[in-house]
Amino acid sequence: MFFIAGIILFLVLAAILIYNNLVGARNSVENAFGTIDVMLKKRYDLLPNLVEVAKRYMKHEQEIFTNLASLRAQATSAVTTDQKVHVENQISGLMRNLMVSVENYPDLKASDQFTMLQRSWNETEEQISAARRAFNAAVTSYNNAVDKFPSNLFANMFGFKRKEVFEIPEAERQNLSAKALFNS
Amino acid sequence: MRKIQNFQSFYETDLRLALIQLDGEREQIVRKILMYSAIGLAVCLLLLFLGASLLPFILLVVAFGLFYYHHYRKFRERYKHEVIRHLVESEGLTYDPVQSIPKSDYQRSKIFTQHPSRYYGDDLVSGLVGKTAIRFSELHTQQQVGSGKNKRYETIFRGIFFIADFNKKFVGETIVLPDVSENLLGSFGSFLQGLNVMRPQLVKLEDVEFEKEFVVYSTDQVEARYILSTALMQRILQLKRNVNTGIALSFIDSHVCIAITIRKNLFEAPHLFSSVDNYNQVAEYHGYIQMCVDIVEQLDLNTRIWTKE
Repeated sequence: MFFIAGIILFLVLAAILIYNNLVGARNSVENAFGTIDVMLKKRYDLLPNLVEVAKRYMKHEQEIFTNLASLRAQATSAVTTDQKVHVENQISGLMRNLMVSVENYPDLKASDQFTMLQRSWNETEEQISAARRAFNAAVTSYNNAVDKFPSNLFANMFGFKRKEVFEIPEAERQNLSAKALFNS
Repeated sequence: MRKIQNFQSFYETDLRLALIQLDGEREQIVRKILMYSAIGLAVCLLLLFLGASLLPFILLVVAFGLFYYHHYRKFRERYKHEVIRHLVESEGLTYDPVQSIPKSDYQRSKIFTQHPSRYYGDDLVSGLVGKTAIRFSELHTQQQVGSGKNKRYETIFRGIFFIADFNKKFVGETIVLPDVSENLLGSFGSFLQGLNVMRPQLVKLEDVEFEKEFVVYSTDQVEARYILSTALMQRILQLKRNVNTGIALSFIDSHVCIAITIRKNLFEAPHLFSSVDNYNQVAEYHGYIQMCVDIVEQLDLNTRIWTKE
């Protein structure tokens, strides 16, 4: 009798632990996603300042500025994660082009204000990349909990679904490429 | 970044003369020691012949020890001044043979959780490598274990402790330690690492090779990844291969601290009975200084593309 009661107690405790672990993993994913949003917000705030200074010197890149402005508007109104990621990747791509074009404007390159903004931009880009990597790590740990035995039994029972990791664009993987912009 | 490009020619042109001179002084000391020892020994034998006990022999050995130590200490100072200082200054850095990385900095690095009850250090090197301020010294720290008759001291760390200004701003604490338990126990080891109450959160990074060699703890998951970019992880792995010994790192207060384990006394003169004009020995010491200077380049600390200048 006590033996059976012991087994039942053990199973109940194990179930509570496993369930709490799943909830904890899901919350870490949400928390990590929130951090990406914070970092992206930092970038949105920085973008207009950077564009404003660059515009004063760069006469032939008006198209990039117009596109950036419209993408920023899209980014703030994007609803789904997919939309957000798509817009973010486009902004990163355009900014990379812009930073390469800076080479043609020595006055802009020499401007202290622009250099500081450019440094802040690099910093934010790396922070976003770090936040994405943290998100991916949280998702991997959550997915492991959802897929591995015995927690997968509870995951199915309580509707915990696998989550997708962020695809990091190839260009961003080479996160030190920004160095090249300064080494001229 | 290296100032001395060809060590062999540097040795011949810049060091050789000083070493030969030092060796002359050493030979003089040795002659003096041998002469006094011979006289002492003759007197002892005479006393023994006259029926004295072994006491004069014991006194002779003690006197020999004190005499040797006295001369070695002075010679060691000369060696550090003439050879090590020259090596360090030729790399554009400054040298203090007596000072070391302070205990407060060692403890602030949080690489070692044990409290050091004995703290020894010397040979402090400091200066700028490009835009990066660096400091390093030899350290030997020990902790007391047991009590009463069983009291003994165990080494916590012995080797070179290196501190440099880091090129990114951060506020938290990130510690990179050699991975022992995961290598031994696999995923169970990793589980145990997560339970370590002495450390902040465990950070699982995506670089498999890096994860195999190191375990990372940090107060902030995102900041740890901001510091340990994919490029820096590879650079740390490369550094570990180059120094070919155990390394542990911490990123605290906008500085990077690196503990490089080397289990021998560095930057010291050889004993008085062997020549100081020893290319291999000086080359080895130079190698350690160069290794520390090269860390700046290897970890790319002079790249200042972030807001920290």
